[in-house]
Amino acid sequence: MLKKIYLTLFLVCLGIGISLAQTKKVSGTVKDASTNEGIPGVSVLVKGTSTGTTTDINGVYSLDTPPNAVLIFQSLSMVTQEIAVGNQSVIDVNMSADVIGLKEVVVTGYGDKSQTTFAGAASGINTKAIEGVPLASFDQMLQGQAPGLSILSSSGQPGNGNTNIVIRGIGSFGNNNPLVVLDGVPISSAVLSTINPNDFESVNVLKDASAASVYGSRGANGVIVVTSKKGKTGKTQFSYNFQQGINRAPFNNRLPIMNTNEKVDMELKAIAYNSSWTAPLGLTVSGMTPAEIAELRTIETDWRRVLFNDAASSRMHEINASGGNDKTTFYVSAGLFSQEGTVKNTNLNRYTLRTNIEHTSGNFKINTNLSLGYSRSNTTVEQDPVVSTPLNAVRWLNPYDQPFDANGEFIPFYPISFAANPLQDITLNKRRNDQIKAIGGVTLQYNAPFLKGLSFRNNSGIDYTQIDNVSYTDQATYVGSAAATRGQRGSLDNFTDRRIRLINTLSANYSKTFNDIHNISAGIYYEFIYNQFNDFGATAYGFSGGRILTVDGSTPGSQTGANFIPQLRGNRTENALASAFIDASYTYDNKYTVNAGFRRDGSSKFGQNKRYGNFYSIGLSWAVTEEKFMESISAINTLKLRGSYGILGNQAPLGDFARLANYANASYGGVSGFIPANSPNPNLQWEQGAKLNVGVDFGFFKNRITGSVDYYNNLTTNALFSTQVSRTTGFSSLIDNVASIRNRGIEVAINTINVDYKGFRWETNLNFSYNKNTVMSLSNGQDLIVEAGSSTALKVGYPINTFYAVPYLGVNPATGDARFQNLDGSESNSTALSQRRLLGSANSPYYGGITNTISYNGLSLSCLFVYFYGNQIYNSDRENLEQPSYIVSNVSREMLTAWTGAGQITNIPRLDFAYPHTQISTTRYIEDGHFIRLRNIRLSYQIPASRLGAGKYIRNANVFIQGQNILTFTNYRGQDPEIGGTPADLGVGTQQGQYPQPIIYTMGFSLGF
Amino acid sequence: MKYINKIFFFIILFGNIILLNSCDSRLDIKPQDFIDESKAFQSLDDCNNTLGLAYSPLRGGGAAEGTGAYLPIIFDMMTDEMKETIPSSLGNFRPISDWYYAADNSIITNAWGLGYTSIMRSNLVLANVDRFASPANQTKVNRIKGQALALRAYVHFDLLRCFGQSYDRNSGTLGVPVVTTQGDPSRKPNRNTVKEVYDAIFQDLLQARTLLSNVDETIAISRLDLRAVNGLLARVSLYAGQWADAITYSTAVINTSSNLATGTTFTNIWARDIYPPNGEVLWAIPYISSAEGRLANFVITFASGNYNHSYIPTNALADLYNTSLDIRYSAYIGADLSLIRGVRKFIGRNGLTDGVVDNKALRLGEIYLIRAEAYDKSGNATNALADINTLRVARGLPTITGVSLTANIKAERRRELAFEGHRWFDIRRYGEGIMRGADWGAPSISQSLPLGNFRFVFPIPQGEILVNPNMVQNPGY
Repeated sequence: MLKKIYLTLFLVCLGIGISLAQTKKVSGTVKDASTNEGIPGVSVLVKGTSTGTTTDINGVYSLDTPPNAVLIFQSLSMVTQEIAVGNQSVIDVNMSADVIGLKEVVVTGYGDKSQTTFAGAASGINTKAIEGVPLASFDQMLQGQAPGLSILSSSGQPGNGNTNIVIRGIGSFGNNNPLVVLDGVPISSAVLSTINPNDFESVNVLKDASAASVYGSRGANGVIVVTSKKGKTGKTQFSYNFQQGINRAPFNNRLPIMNTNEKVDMELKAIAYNSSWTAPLGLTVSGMTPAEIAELRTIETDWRRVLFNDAASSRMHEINASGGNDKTTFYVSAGLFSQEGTVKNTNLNRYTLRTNIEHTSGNFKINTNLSLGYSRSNTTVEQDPVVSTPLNAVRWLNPYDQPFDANGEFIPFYPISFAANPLQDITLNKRRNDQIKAIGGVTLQYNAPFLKGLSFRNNSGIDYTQIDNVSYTDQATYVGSAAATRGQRGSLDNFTDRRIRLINTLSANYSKTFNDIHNISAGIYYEFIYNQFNDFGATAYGFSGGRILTVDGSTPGSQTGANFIPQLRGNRTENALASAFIDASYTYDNKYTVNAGFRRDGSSKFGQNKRYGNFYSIGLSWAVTEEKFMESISAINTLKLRGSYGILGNQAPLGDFARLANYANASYGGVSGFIPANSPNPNLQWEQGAKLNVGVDFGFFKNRITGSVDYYNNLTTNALFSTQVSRTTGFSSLIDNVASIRNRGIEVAINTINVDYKGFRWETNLNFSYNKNTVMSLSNGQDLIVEAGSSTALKVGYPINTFYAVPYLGVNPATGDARFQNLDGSESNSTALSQRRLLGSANSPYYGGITNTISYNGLSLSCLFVYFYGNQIYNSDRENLEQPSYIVSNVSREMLTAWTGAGQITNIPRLDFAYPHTQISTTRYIEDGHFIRLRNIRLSYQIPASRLGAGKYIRNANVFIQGQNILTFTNYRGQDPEIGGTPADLGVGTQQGQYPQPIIYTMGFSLGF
Repeated sequence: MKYINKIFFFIILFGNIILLNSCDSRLDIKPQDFIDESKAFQSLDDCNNTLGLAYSPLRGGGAAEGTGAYLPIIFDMMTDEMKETIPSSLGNFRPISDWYYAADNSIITNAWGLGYTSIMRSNLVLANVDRFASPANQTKVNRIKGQALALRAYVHFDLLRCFGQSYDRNSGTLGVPVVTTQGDPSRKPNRNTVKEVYDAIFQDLLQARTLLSNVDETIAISRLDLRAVNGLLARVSLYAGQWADAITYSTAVINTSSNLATGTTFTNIWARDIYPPNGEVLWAIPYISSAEGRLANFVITFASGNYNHSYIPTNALADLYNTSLDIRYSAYIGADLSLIRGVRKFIGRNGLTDGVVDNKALRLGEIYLIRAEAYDKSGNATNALADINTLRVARGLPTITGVSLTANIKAERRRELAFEGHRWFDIRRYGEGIMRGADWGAPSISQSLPLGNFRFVFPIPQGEILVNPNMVQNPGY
C-alpha cells in the first residue's frame, strides 16, 4: 500500500520537472567581487529545471528562462547565489569567495547547524588548505589547522598510520583517538591512508559536550566529522589535477656520529685508557698493526647514504567530474597517489574511487556516498630498539664497515659493531601491506507533506577495511637466520585482518520557525552500530632464498624439523552499541539559543548491570550582534557568546569481553589446555567525560578580524585504568573504573585580513592552544604509579606521562664519574630508584599553527608553520650513542670529549668500558622537545582566463609548487622532534630509530574543463 | 494517505523506544576466542591439561629454574662461573651479573610474577579436581593432584631461594607469601616466614609423594612423577640442612633409577634430548620449538650461521675439568666453538644451532651430589666418597681418595651442574662470598660480592611493593 503511494508521488514530481512553458532570454556577466574580473565556468541554472549554461572565458553567459524563473549561480569555492529573474533581461552577478574560517554551518554528522546560533565548540577546517598536500594520511594534514587539535606523527614512512590525534588533551589512559565520521559512517581512525582527502568538502572538529553530544558514549575524545564533495547542478565540470615531486630525508646534523678517523682515534684512546683491562676489549683496532689501522682509515661509509634514497619521487593524478540537474547531482572522482619513501624500497601506492549521488524526488531525497580505496605499501621496521632495525644500524655501524664483502656479497651482521646490515635487510626482507577500504552510505529522507518541517530519515552505512600483510625475512639476512626465526632459514608471516563496521540510524527531525522569531528544531534517533574484527594469519618457516614469497614457499614441519611447523592464528571479536537519543534546540529571534541533547547507549562490552549509560548536554548562546543596540557599533560585525556543559562517554579502551572470566587456549609439551586469560570485572562501566566550555566568536572591522576564544574544563571520571594487583594472585592487573583526569585549557583562533588592496590580499590564520593536563586520582588512593623500567610516572597532581628520573649533574672533573642529585640535594655517583623526581611532561601543553596567505592577481603564496612547546623527549638514540660500553659500535661525536684525565671539564663520563649503564632513567637524555616547523609552503598561480586560448576547452588552470617540512627549528638533539603515538617497544615520549619526516617538494597543476 | 503517514511517524517515534528496550539480546555478544570460566573444567582431562599449563610458565622468564629466555643460567652469570665478553654484549644483563639490580629489574619482576602464575594454575587444578573424583578414577585423580601439589611446592621453593631472607629450616625471617587458594584478586598477602614456607613445601611434597605412589599410568618426563618428587624432597632437605632426610629421599631416587648415564647415553642427553626411562633425567621441561623460548638466548646470540657468546665460562670453571677424560667438558663447554670457550650445553639439539633444547631441571647427577654432601655433613665420609666416585667414574674420571672431601664435593658439583642454575644458591648455602678470577675483567667491574651482602637476596619487585602495603622489602633495596 505504502509503496503505491510513493510511486505515485514519484511520478507526480517527475511530471513537474518536465513540464514546459514560454521562455525569455537573460544574459549578464559574473565577476569575482574581489578582483572584479570575469569568472569563467560558473554554472548558471534555472532553479527547478535541468536548463542551464556556464559562463565563458570572460564570465559572460546567456540563456533562455521560463517566466518567474530563479537563477542559481554556482562555482566551486564561491558562495552560491540565487537571483529571481523577474523583469530583468541583464543580470550581472558579483560572486565572493567562501571566506576562510567563517563557516556558515557546523556539520555534526547528524545534521547541519547554523553557525550563528550554535552553542557548541567546533572548528571547521578549511579543506582548501589540505587539498593537494603531498601526504598520504589525512590526519597528518590537519596538523596546525585547528585549535585544540594536537596531531603528532612519529613516522615519516609513507602510509604509516602511527599518528597521534588528541583533541583537548589526554582524557583517558586507554584510548584518546577521536571518533572519525565520514559522511555519517564512523570509520576506523587507524586506517586513514587509504582514503583520498582531496574528495573532502568539509572537516569539522567537534570539541565540547554540546557539539559532540549526539555521539554520546563515543564523543568523549571529540569527533572529527568529514563530508565528501557533492555534485553541483549545471553543466558537467571535469577537472584534472596532477603533481609530481621529490622526497628527501632530512640529513640534519643534530646528532652527529663519528667518521672513520674520529672513530679510529677514539678506539685507540679507549684502549690506552682501559689498559688495566685484562680481558680482550674486542674493538676493531684491537690487535691491529699500524699498517692495518692506516688501511682502515681509508674506508669511509656514510651509512645514511646507504640506507636512504638521494631523492625519492612522489606523484599524484586525479580526475573528477561534478554536475547534475536540480533533481540529481553527482560527484565522481578517481585518484592515484604514489610516494616513494626516503628509505630505499619503502613506498606507498594508493588508488581511490568515489561516487556521490544525490537525488530528490518529490518528498523523497536519496543520498549515496561510496568510496573505494586500495593501497599497497612497502615498509621497514622503525622505532624498535633491536639491533636488526635498519634505522638503528645506520647509526650503530662503524664508518669503516662496508655493506659488501670482497666478493660483492652482503655482510649480514657485523659482530663487532653489533648490528645487522641495513641495506641487506631493506633489499631482501619484505614487509608489504595491502589495504582495501570501502566506505558506503545510503540516506533516505522523506519530508512529511502533512507537516512542514518534519522529516524522517534512515541512514545506513558500512565501513569495511581489509588488511593483508606479508612480512618475509630472508635466510641470508641476520633476522632470517637468527634463532628467533624458527629453523633459521627465513620466515614468512602473512595475516589478513577484516574489520566491518555497520551503522543504521533511524530518525525523525522537525524544524520550524513560528511568527518569524521562534525557531525550534528537534530530532529523535535510534541507532545500532556493530563492529566486527577478524584476523587470520600464519607464520611459515624454511624458505629457499626468497623465490616464492607466499606461505607456499615454506618447508613443511616434520618429526625432526619441528621448527618448520608453521604457526597459525585466528581470532574474531565483535561488539555492538544500541542507542536512542534526542537533540533539540530553540532560538528566539536569532539571538538566544538553548540546545540540549540526551542519549542513552547500551553497549555489549558491559555486563547486564552496567550495560546502559546516559549522556547529555545543554548549551546556550547569545548572538549579541543581533541585538538592536549593536547596530550602531559598526566596528563589531559578529559577537556571539556561548557556553555548554554535558557528560559524554568513552568505552574504547575496553576489550570486548573484559567483563567476563575468560579462559584461553595454551599448550605445554604439545598438549593444549585452558587457562584464565584475565581477571574478570563484571562492574566495568563507561568512562565519563564532564565537559564545560565557554567561548566567544567575534568579527571586527567588516569581518577583517574574525575568530574565537574558548575556555574549557573537562573532567574524566571513572577512567578505565589497569590497576596493578598483587602478583601473588597470578595476575598483574585488573582493569577498572578508578582514575580521574582533568584537562583545562584555552584555545584561540584568529583570522585577519591584513591587507586587501586592489587585488592584493594578505591573510593570516593563527591558532593557539594551551592545555593543562592533571591526573586527579589513581586507583585505590594510590598517589604514584611507575611501571618497571619506564622513564615516566603517573602522579596525582601532575600531567600524564611526567618524566620521572634522577637529575644528572655532569661529570666530576676529578674522577670522571657521573654526578647525580639525590632528593635531599646531596650528590651521588650512582642512581637509585628512590632518588627519582618528577620532571616535565612528554606531552606539549602549548601548540598551534600559523598560516599566512598572500595573493595578488591570481598569484598566491601561503605558508603554514606549526609549533609545539613545553614537552620533553627521552632521547634514546643519543643514549645509545653516548655509552662508553658501546664504543665497539659507532658513537656520537660528543664522545670525543669523554673524560680521560683528572681536571677535564666535560659532559661525558670517563671512557671506561665497564662504566655501569645507568639502569635508572636520568635527566642526561631527557631534552626539551619544542619545535617550530615550516610544515607547508605553496606558491600557486591561477592562469588568467585570457591566456587560456578561447576558453572553450579549458575552464580554468592553476599551477603550483610546494614544499613540505622544509625547515625545522628545535634544540632537540635528535633526528626529528616530532614524536607521537607510543611505539610498542619504546616508552612514552621516547625516541629511537625513527623514520624521519621527509622533506617533500612537489609541483603540479590542475585543469578544469 | 495522511493517516498512513501519521501512523508511520508514530511507529518510528515509539519504535525507537521499544526497540532499544528489546535490543538486549543483540548486545549479548559472547566471545569466540575464549570460553567462560564455567566451561573450563568439565572433566579430569581438563584438569590435567590445565595442569600442564601450570608447568608452562617455567619455560619463560619465571622464578623456577627452567625459565626460558633468562633462567637458569642467570644464576651462573651472577657468580664466578661465567664472565661477560665485551665484543658481543650490549651490557643489557650487566645489572644482574654485576649485582647492581634495582627493585624494578625486569628479570626479577618476571621471576616473581611467573612463579605465582604457575602457583595460581596449580591451585585452580586443585580446586577443581575433586569435583570429578570417584572411587573408580582415584588413581587418575592421584596422578593430577599429586603433580599439582608437587609443582606448587617446587615453585614456592624457587621463590624462597631467590627472595627469602634465609635458608634455615626454622628461620623466623621473611620468606615469600604462600598461596594455596585461588581467591580474591584484590588480596594483598603478607610474606610468610621462611619456616612457614618450608612447612608448606614439605607438606605439599609429602602429600604428593603419597598420591603419586599410586597412579593409573606413567607420568611423562615433562612432568613431576614419584622419582622427581623424591628428588625435590632431597633438594629441599639439603637446603634446609636436614641431612638424614636428604639421604633418605636421594636414596629413594637412586634405588628406583638405573645407573648414572655414561658415554653416549650421557652426551645424547645434551646433544639430542634423549632420556631413557628411569635414567639420568628425572624431569625435563620441554621446548618443542623456538616459539617456546630458548634456555640461553641472551647468553648466546644465534645468528647468521654462527653464534656469539655474551657470557662465557670463566677460566676458573673451565680449568676445573679434565678436558681429555671428562665427558662433561665437551658436552657442556666444547672446544670447537668458533670464537672462544663458550657454553655448548644449550646450543641446540640434533646438530641444530638454534638454542632449542629441553631444560633438564632435575638429574640423577644432582641426586648423587646431594647424598654425598648430606653424608659428608653428617660425618659419613665413606659413603660420601663412594657417591662422588660413582659419579666421577660415570663421567669418565678416575676415583679420588678421601682427602679434602668437602672441597671435592663442591668442585664436583660445579663440574656436574655448570650453567644449570645452582652455583648462586650453593655459594649462599655454603656461606661463602663470590670472588671472581683475574680473567674477569677490569678492576672497575664488580669482582667480589662478600658473604652476607644484601644482594644475595633479591629485591621484592617494585610493582608488588607499590600495590601491596603488606609486602616488606628486603634490606638494602
